Amino acid sequence: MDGKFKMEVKKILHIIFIIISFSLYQGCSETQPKKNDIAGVWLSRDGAIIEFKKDGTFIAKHLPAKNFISDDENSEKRFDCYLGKWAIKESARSLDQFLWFVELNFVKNSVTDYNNTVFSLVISGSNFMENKAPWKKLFNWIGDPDSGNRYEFSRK
Amino acid sequence: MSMSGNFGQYGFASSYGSAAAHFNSGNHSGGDVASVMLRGVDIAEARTNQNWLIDRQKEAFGVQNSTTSPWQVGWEWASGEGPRDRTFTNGDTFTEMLRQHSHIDATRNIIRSRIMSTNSTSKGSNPYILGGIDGVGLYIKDYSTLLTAGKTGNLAVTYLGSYGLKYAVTSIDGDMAMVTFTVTNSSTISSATHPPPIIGYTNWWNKNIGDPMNRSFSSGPFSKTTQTFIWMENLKWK
Repeated sequence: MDGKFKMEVKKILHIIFIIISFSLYQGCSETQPKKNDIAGVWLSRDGAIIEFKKDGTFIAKHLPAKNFISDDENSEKRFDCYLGKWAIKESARSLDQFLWFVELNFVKNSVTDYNNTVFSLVISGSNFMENKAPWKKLFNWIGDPDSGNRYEFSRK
Repeated sequence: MSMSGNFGQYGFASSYGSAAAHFNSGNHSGGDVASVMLRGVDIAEARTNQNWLIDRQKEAFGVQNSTTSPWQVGWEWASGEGPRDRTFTNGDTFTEMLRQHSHIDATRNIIRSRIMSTNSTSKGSNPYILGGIDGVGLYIKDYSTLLTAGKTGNLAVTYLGSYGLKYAVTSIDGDMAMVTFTVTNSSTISSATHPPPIIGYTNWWNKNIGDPMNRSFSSGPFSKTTQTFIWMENLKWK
């Protein structure tokens, strides 16, 4: 190995070290989102709306079935939720990156087949690792999380 | 990748819909003495329907998946040869490996506690994510398969990495519930090159590294393939 190659390897290792150190720092001292951080109206780009109420209930309109419910004959349709319950939960595995999520229990819906569906939206923060307040987005993965595709809601 | 897109490409959505209709119609033969009744649909009937569903899948995809291993799927992705979309179901080698993953077991427990609290059918989602610092541990566990010749980890998940998971409890009778699991996975150059997962699942990585890489491998070797797993289980929930 010549000196130039060694220098290059050293440089790459240095960059990786910085990225990992930065991420570890970013991963520390998460604070739990509070009910007030979530309560309110959240919108998706394609017109879906969720209103989280402070009493722990929610209503929703124009939700795309394929992004929330198991795929079936209604998967291309949109549906409304007339009555739902929500709660902030901690990830069971204590993932530091996606530590908190909003659990949605769709109690009564325009498509009755969807009643009692439980679904969750990841609470995404505003820093690089997305794990710190202010909480800017709620999202779920579209299909495989490896694809990186998200269905996102932003606060109105 | 969403499953509907995957199926739509092969006209499979209608087949699956028909499968559901077939399942509900009673258009099948059954009669296993030892079967357990589940709201009028016994397990033998469910198995018959399941076989019917598998046949429709084979017709729709024109490929035999029963003995396809993660190694083969990995080779197809890397070489650019073979089908770009595969669907697996009960009895297939790949499915049976996946069913043993600890995350599937954890999901079964979620379903059990859900039935205990509601005593009704329901649907839900529980994706498996390798993100964050804790993801490194899961990563090592899943990939240890390669170092220990399969004695640790889960070979199916070694290939899949993160995956989407949805479930539907379709019937409950006594202490048994019929559950359909649907797992979706896409294999792309981006997913294969997630760095230590610490930053690989951030929005920043996806926009600046993942998407551009996928665009440069849009066909041929390392281009996107998808795997969908649909299987049914009788779950003892009490």
